[in-house]
Amino acid sequence: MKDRIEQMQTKAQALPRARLGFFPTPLHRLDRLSEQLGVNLYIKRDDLTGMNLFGGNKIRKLEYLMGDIVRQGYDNVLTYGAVQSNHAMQTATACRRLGLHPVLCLNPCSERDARNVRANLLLNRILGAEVHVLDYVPDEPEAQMKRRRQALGRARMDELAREGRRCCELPSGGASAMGSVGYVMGYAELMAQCLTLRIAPDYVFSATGTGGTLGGMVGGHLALGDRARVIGIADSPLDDDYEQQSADLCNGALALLGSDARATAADIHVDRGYYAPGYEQPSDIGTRAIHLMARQEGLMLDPVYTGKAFAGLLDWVRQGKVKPGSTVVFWHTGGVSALFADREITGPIGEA
Amino acid sequence: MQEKIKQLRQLTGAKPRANLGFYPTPFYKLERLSEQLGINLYIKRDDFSGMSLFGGNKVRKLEYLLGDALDQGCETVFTYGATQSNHAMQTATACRRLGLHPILYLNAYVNPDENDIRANMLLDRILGAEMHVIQSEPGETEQQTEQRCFQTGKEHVARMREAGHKCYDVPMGGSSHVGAAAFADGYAELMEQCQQVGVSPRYVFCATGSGGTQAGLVAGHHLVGDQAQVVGIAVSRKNDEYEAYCAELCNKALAWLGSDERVSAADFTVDRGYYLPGYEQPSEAASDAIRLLARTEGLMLDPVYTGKAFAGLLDWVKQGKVKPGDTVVFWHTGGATALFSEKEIVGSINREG
Repeated sequence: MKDRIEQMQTKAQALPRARLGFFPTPLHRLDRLSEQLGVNLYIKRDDLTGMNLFGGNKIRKLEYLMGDIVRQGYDNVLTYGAVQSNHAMQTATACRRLGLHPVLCLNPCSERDARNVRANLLLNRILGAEVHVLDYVPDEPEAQMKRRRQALGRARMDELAREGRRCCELPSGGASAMGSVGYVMGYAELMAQCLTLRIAPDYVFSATGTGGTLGGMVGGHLALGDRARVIGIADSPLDDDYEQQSADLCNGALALLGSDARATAADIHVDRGYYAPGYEQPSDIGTRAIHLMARQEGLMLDPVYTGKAFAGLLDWVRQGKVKPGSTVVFWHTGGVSALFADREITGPIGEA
Repeated sequence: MQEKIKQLRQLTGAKPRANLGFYPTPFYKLERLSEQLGINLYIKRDDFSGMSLFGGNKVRKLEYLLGDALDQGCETVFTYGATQSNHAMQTATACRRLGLHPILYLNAYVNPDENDIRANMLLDRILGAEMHVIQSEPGETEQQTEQRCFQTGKEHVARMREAGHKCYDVPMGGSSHVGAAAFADGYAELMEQCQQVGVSPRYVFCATGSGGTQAGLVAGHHLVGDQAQVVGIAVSRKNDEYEAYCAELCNKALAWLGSDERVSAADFTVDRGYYLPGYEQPSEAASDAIRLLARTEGLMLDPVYTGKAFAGLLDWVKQGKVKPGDTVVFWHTGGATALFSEKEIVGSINREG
């Protein structure tokens, strides 16, 4: 295993990379929760990627994405997301650190969401990012909203080009093959830490949204051939071909790293049982999971991604799908700034 | 100097300590801002102390304070602060990690809206801390409310002790000699990192509020004997006795650590020029400082402490008190959750532009 990890690290060194975070992120055991749940529960702290306090999983992807962008000599970066997008905020942060101009095209999840300067939208203001918010259209199908959002972005890119700027377009969530390279290597980082701690995880749980993080982790797992099962807990309904899309991202990343390993849709394990009532909508099980982690371990999860993902993990343990005594890693993907978003996103987490 | 750092680490290493953070915290050069300001500017990231995302300078103190609490077999921990207190939130977080019961006595400078609980008070709620909010009464000054909050808490401690409970009582800001000693250790950590990087700071800037952090840094500086001047930027109105008070705290920490060294008020540099219009009240200079660091380095400060402290540092550079080419360390003490607090605290940073 050690040799294979080192081989991957050597291959990754050939790719351009911007230094945007503090790696490796901590991996540590949750002693009190482990005892309570009867499993060996570890947490991988990608909420602590840095360099900004409000880092998260996107920073791992952005190290490779921005490395490539800087190498190609772009001076502007345009990306997409929801108004409270973690990816958009972390992209703006990365741009500022590297001296690039950040342009964000964001879609609101409600009429109120568009005007409410909180959480990540507030951080974007402080960062002085150029923010364009799409008009809110109630009950609009997601595909149509995405077309409008992209049209807005492309129009702005045309303007920037006319002004003589070189603008790079990043997909929402940083979900591209190059972005997923960050998580293939993140998985290798986790396995190196597991070797040091002399543990071999049976399960690795993470939230999954745009599919790039999960695709990368599965890529790392396939390249290393460890025994863990990587489980993505869906943050939203997700399309039927989501597993295939995630496998494509995985394979693109493996190809960039010169690895022969390949994934099929069957290698991507996604549980769609825990996102209800919907994306960016709070749930009782999410709230309870946040409270449990805070009150047993003094750690913070968020209501949109990690709260629901951890609720999924807890349910797998309760149902006996994860056997007592198993070694389980919960991958904290960040996004904790959402705790300071509007109540329509956070729900009753702050009630006495 | 290496020998003196080692001796200091031996003194602090002999004390009971709870494992609450990830140390050493990062220390590195702010390349873009250094070039812009014409100095060598480094940042010490105690906002990144962990273990919760929302750590900060108090975690360093709590490692020793709660280490002491566990050593004494306590089960309940009391502390005090404003409703948006970083110290209270970090104490509640630390208690949860250690299985201790946190009880917070919080005085309201800004009365919280039950339908919109924000920032640290929201985190206290999530942590399920036992919270007692003392709201100001008509005609009462802020100091009187704070005093009443403190008094009510102390009575609660006394009642619980009478009933046979083992309680640990942490002062506001964690600013006891034990908390200060933690920052003497933090100063040794900084000096080790400076040696690794091969720099010798001329100035170390930090925000100063309840005095414990600066008292500890000066204790560390005094024991190491390096060339730096520790500059505290006041975040609230301080009376003339503040330096003497800090020196006393520093000397108690030195004594607790078993050192014979002592300092005087003259060893403390406290600049009172940057806190206006008042504690937890935003200023344009701080808002500008927050925007500058965010837009050149992608890092976040807060409007109450680090924004004002960094505004002070920038002004020292502008005025030429810090000379071009000087090596300067900005000690980021955390507290960025205040960015998400009430608009009375946040100020103009939420505006466009």
